Amino acid sequence: MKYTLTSALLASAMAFGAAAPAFAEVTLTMWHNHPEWKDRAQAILDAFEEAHPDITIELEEIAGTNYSARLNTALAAGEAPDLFGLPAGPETLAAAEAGYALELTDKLDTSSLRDAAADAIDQNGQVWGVPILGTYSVGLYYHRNIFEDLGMTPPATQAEFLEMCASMKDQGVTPLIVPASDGIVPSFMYMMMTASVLGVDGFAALRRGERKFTDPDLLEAAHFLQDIGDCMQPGALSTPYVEGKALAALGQGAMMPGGSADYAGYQEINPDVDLGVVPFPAVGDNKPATVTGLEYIYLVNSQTEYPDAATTFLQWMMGDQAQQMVVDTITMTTNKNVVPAENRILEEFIEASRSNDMRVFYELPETGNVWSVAQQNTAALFLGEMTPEAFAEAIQAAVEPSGN
Amino acid sequence: MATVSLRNLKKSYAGAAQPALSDLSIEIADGEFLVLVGPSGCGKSTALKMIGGLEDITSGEVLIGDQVVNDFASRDRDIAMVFQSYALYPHMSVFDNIAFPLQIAKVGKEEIARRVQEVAKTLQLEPYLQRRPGNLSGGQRQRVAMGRAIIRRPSVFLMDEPLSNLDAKLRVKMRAEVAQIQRQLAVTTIYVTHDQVEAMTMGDRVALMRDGVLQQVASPDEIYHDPANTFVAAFIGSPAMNLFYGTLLRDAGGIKVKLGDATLTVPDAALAKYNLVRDHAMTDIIVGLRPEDLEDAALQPDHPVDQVFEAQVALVESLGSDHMAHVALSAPAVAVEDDVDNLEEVSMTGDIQGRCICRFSSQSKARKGDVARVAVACERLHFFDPKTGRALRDT
Amino acid sequence: MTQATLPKPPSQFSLRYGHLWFVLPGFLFFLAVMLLPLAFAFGVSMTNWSGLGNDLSFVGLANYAEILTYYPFYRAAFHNAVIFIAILIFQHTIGLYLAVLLNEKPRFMQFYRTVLFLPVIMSLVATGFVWTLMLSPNIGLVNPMLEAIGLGFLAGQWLSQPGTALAVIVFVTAWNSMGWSIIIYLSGLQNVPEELKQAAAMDGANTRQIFWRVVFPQLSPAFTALTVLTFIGTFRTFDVVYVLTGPLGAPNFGTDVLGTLIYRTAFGGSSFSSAEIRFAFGVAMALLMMVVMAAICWGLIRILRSREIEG
Repeated sequence: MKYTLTSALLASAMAFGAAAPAFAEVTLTMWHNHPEWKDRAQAILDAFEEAHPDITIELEEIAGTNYSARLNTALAAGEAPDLFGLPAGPETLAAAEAGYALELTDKLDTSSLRDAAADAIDQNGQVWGVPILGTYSVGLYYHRNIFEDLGMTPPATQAEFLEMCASMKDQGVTPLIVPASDGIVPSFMYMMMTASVLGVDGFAALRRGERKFTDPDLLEAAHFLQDIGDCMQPGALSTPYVEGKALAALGQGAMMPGGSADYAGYQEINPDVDLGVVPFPAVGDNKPATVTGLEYIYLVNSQTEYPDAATTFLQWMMGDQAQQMVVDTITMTTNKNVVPAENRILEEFIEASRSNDMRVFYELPETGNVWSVAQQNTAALFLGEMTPEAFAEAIQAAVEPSGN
Repeated sequence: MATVSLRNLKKSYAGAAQPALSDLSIEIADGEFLVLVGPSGCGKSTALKMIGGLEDITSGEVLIGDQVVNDFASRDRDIAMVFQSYALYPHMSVFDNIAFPLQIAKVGKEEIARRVQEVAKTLQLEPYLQRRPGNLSGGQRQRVAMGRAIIRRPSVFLMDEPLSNLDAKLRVKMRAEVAQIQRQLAVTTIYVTHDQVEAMTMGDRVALMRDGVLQQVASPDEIYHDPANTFVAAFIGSPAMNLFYGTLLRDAGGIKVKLGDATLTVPDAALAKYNLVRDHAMTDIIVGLRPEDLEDAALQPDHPVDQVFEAQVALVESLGSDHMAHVALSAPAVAVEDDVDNLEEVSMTGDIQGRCICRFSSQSKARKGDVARVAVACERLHFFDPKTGRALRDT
Repeated sequence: MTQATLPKPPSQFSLRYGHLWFVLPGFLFFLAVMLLPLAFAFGVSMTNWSGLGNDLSFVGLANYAEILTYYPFYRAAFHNAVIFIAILIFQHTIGLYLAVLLNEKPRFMQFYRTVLFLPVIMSLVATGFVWTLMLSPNIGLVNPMLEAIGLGFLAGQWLSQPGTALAVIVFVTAWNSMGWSIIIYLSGLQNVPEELKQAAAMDGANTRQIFWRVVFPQLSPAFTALTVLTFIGTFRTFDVVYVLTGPLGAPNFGTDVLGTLIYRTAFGGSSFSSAEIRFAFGVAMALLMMVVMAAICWGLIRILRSREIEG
């Protein structure tokens, strides 16, 4: 009874909205998982509000560690915001299948998207969310001044890395900063190592079930990961993300794995930071590699009162003005019309990804489960409580090959 | 068994203007039952705790036997104490409570059992030995506390108002029991109370204290009949002694005392007892009259006429056996200054129109509003110095 | 006989049960905020609901059966048990000792008491964060301090060694909860009548005998309360672990407790994948934990109460 009454009210409200030439003072709520970008994201939203004075976006930033728990509970309780971000791929599909998201297929013009991004949001011909805050690549940051002082150049291979690691330790320099407490950054390292072995084609073969993480050449990636444990800063296994980022920015170690979107954060902590980017050192004699993924793509809550305002917002965000701001202040863009202004780090990332680039596991249905298995087991691998073989087996067990 | 000597005991607390106890000296004989009595805050409990080693001694000495025990811990003084709250160990059975001192002294198990049985028999506690104190009545708890004190056969018992938590009836019964046990065991006992009835009925001697100063130590009879000063006079006895300012006159008929309008002849017997009275002729003094020494003259036709005064009856309270007649005397009553607490007997007005309480026989026909003739047993009059309050006799 | 009792006056029922009306408001509140959610949770625990969407089916007690052989559950419960035992020992020794010292009314007692109680009222999340910073091998104070006072051999990577990480959790929890044990014991000590101690002194007991034979037994209600509270507190601990070693109970689940395990299972521990989220399974673990804890608490209280003084 109550329900029908509210729906009736809602329906009439929406009818009014559609009939009116412009929206009558609409406020949309939006959750985002990067408090460290709050100012930059807000600046883009301000620009949107200037263009659309009748729509206000209320942004709430939630730290990454709490974001999914918060969002999942809110979605289940029907209290989620009008606009919410999720990883592209299986996560987005799951939300769509649960009925939490409004279908956006044909409601938005996605022609400005680069092919990779357009491909990433396509779920069997349907679109449930779109990238509005860019895309990222993950590679290896290094302090140019530290390397200069040591008279070294960034490592390109496993052997070089491990040799350099020993030499740096001898000279009292921490080679690598890794916040390993939640297993996320180590998992990214593992992805880059497997990317080095697999490349784009190999990854496709792996998803089809033709290759396995336990293949001898891929097993070497797990060995490399285990060996790298000794190069990390003291207490790496309990270093939380924030502390790791600060240690890296302050030059407490010579290198750190990181994404294109991290640079702004480093600069915020240490304005004088002098960083360069290379692809992550290669496993064996393969090519060094990076991985690429979309920043959380944005979905419209199926319960929203203002679907039209929401799509208006998303469309504007994909446009040239917003994407220029994204690329200039945050990370790489998904818009093919936008060229970054002078931005050395992003250029270095783009350069790095030319070597050997692979999409992140979690955006693809076959390797969606691989991510959490990797995340939960890297600590055991570093501690020697798990062999590289067992690690690779656990990872492989989580693959759901598309051939089956 | 031992004597206890208190020599110039003094206790002062930091920040207090007056010492809690000053210059207390009492010799207590072996086996004697001494009662320390006085209003609250008079220092009696402090004195007891100093003897027990629960309070530091500021100066002076405590001797048990021949031994100065000032620096001895409580447990080395060979004393036992019964507390007002009984201080029974709530987690132990009655048996263990009584046995506790022996267990601490590492006495053998069988010996303990035997002695607890013995004490329990004396105190009629045998059926309750396995109970916890929480399941006992007040009287039973009191007896357990006694049992714990006597089982060790100490040289000295200290009792701190042990009966004050009992109801009136039980208190009367236990009073007799405690006194009897003490006589049986013949252990030197120092007993603190604020109840003058306990003091009078139980003690061999009574030590009356006020504001940390000892007023008088004497047998109950002596302290009643020969009070050393107005405070003792007013404190002991219920209703309290009537105290009035009067003037001593001397004429041919001998020494007379003038109380307002009334004049009473002081017989030789009184003059013999209060031998300093003669020196105070023609001066103001304090006269004390015990209520029981004042009778309705109508019932005593033979009473000498010069030992009678007339006064208006303000109030008559019948106790059945006696009629307490409050008569108005046109002499100023003496106010004994003290923090009197619940001892309303001590408080008196300074009015010219003093109230005098007379214990008339129940045969008396005097009623409120009557003018009664009051026969005074003048040989039992008491005389005190109005300045010092001391009794007018050599001590 | 029956006939005589049949025509009962109508007030008989209300005489016997009328008082229940007074309990009703409280009961309704309890029903709304405790019993109904519990019943709902129990219902959820018998499904395979992941927490997302409406896709669920009834699985009976399958979740509970799975817990019985679910290794992470036992691992987490074991860590809780270790924390419980360690905190229990700590509170009944150090806590009691400090309470006894405070009960001697030392100078500046108010100050000491406040300082010792302060951690209790501070947010565990905030203090936990401060501890993480202090213990960090890179930027922390603790290691340099140990080295400065010649205890450099004790310095270490506290939180990243499985052997010491749990000890750090215990330490921080102990530091944080010490105030409780002190306050509870102190109130127990202050309830012991002075005369009881004086009586024992008179009876020949020395200071140690007075404490152990007379004072300590009076503290058994405090002992019971503290033990039960500690049990409940340590088995539902979450914040310290979450802040110090993260939702995964780093390193390698060495500090994973039931709280973090249930949180991870029901809500997810990763920002990139909710693949491992099993809400219903998490609820089942939480409910099982509640039932087991309630049973243990009941047993604890029964055992400890029987030792207390009646009356």
